[in-house]
Amino acid sequence: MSIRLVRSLEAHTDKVWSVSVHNRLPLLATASSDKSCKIYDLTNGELVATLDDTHKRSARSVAWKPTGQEPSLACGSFDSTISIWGKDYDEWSLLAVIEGHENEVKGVAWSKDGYFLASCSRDKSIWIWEADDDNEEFECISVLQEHSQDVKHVVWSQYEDLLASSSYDDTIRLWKEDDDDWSCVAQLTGHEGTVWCSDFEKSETSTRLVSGSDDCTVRVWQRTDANDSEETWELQAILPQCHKRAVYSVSWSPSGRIASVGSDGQLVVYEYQSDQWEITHVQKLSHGVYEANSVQWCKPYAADDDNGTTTAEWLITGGDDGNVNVWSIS
Amino acid sequence: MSALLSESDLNDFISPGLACIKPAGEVRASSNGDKSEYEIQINGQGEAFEVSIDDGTTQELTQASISLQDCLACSGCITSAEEVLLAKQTHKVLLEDLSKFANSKVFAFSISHQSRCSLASFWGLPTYKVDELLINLMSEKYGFKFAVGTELGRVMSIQRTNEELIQRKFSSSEKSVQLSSICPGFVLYVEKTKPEILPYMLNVKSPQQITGLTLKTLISQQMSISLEEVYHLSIMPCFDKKLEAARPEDAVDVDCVLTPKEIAELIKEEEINIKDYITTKDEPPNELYTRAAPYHWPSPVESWSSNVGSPSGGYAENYIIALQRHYRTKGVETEIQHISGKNSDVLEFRLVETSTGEKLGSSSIVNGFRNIQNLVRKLKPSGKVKIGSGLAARRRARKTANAGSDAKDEPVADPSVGDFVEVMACPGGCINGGGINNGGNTTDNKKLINELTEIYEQLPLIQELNTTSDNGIVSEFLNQLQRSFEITDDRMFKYKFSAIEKATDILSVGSKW
Repeated sequence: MSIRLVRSLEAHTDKVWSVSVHNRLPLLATASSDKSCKIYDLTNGELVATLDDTHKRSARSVAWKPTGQEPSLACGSFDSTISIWGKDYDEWSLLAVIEGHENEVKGVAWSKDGYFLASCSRDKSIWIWEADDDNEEFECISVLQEHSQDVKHVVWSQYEDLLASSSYDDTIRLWKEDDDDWSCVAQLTGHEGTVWCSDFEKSETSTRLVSGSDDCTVRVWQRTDANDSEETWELQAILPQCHKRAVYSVSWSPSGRIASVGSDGQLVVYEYQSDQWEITHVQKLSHGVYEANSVQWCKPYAADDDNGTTTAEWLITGGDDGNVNVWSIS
Repeated sequence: MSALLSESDLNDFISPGLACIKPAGEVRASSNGDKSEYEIQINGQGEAFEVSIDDGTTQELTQASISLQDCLACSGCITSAEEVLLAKQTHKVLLEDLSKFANSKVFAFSISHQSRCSLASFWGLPTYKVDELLINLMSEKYGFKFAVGTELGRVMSIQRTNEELIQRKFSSSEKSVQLSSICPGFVLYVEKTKPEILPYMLNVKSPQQITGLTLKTLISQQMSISLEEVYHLSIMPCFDKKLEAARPEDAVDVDCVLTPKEIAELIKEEEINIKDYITTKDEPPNELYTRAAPYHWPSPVESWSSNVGSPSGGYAENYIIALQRHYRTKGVETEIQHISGKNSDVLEFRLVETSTGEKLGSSSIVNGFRNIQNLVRKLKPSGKVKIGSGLAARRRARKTANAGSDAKDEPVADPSVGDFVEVMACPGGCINGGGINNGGNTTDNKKLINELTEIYEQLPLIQELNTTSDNGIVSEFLNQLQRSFEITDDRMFKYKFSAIEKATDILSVGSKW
């Protein structure tokens, strides 16, 4: 089994905070401290568009909307706003700027059908917005304030309208719609430091979540019971420890692998083999001497060897060196 | 600080900020001139001392303290940092004041409808029994001389609101929507974070403040004492009312605000047997209401009644009723439509001409932070989404072409384009205020709101204290009060709002993530 650098994109002149791959199209979006987002074609690594001149501070988080005839994305910025961009008539345009958070927006995420946009902020709140098909009007339908600290990251399940949020208060919370408002259905405690990120398992039959934290661990949680207003989640495993510093980002692949990156610059891949999680790949210095901030799995958009076979999965990472790296895991 | 009130109980709904950032401007009273060096030591009891490096003399340092006025002037958090809100105007402070001013002040209290409903539910008594209990208890045990319900103050607030709105509608060229200033949480939110919304605020004072001035004025006249010698305790359903009472506008109209939670705590801590203060009579204590009010208080019994409209006070609905009445005097027959919003916390009252169906005016209820957000975003100059390159227009044109004739004509509530919005920070409005006593049970909040709303709706409705009439006893009383005591309109009814500048946020400097 090998890990191979397919391509390194010198995307930004400053830190890359977040990467996102479109669910259907070979499009990669990045967000950076240089206040811009960039869009790349994953089949050839070419720059498609630069989305700039909008945010006054770092672009912190980026997320593709999974639905719509034309691709569109949300970008959350430290300037407390969220920008929405879309492609129409072969042109990338700013469609909306959403204001509401008191200060730095740390994360944005679209629900499975593109109906909801969630955002989270240093103001300790999570906002849920209802989006129209044109991405022009956004209505705030809920403000969730149960986290006692900075909320770092939000992610939706691909199979139901279930949202997970990670916070500086060391917890993860899960949220669902309840009557005409949203409420917290579970709180996952155990991490001994900031939870930076989480991601749902890509499975219709089991509902699990992987999380990465300042405590250097990567944990897997499983939902064991659920009704409309309450869910029971249990810690299922602490993955074999490899990171020596904070884990900033985790991603769960469709084939069941987990990847993590962090402050120590390592890219680590875990697989569930014969009843336990094992580390199958470690890429040290994934971004040179710089920290790695974001990781996401995607399907391979190019043959991974000269024979044209494409059995591998790809990983996209973004780091403080301003680069976005594309890795092939086989 | 009350043990009953923990952090989780304090739900302002508009979330407070992080820890208090107010710089403590304590003046150091050093006797050694200014050139000496000091270091600060903390002893085993947690007391801080200043130790001179030159001669080793020590001096105890005063603890920094933050007043509610500090909170009003600071943009650090939207409403007060919880510890400040909890430390000021608690039932302990009331007890201290009672002994401190026992011989120098006359004590009076007023109580809001929602607070009475909350206590009624908490003790399982009819609302009028709660009234009887509180009037008797406060007078017999604590020496209070006067007590009133806040309906008179509310009627004055509603009447004034309606007058200003109707005058504005028919004489002013400015047609923008007006937002109610009754909710102190919302007012502070606007002053501190949304100054661009200030021009939309209808600055009519709340029942608490109007009741305070009226009560103090009548008592001072009756007892031949100064206004300052009257102590006014206000019992209100939310903690932010403490901040409203501390606003810098005028003299102190409210000396202390307690919530139903704190009243229940007082009674528990003082080991009061509530049965000692209520009779077995199964009817409203009308005679007691009359006896407890100042002599010239108009309609003391009805000051414990209520009016039509939402449990927050019915401001939106009463405006539409007043507007309907206005059109009727012009011979225009109208009807009021109720139009639901996106969720149960948005409701529009729309006045339409019966014959033509034309919309003549509208007002809305908007409760809760999420709905406030959508409202202020629509009003904000830049709040309309910014569109790049005419794309939206092209899209819309395409969409309209496709849509053809199946356009929806089902009306949807849009508070931002009406005449007036009754805005309350709490979901459900004042009946769900942060000071409402939930008996420690926070899980079944919806059930509690439903129960309290039911209790509220059973309150008798006012008859002679008419909210819409121009020549009723309220206007007559008000004219006389303002004339006799030289109270200006501004003093009686007006807040002075100002934007509170944002402090440089120390926390965002150097924050990496």
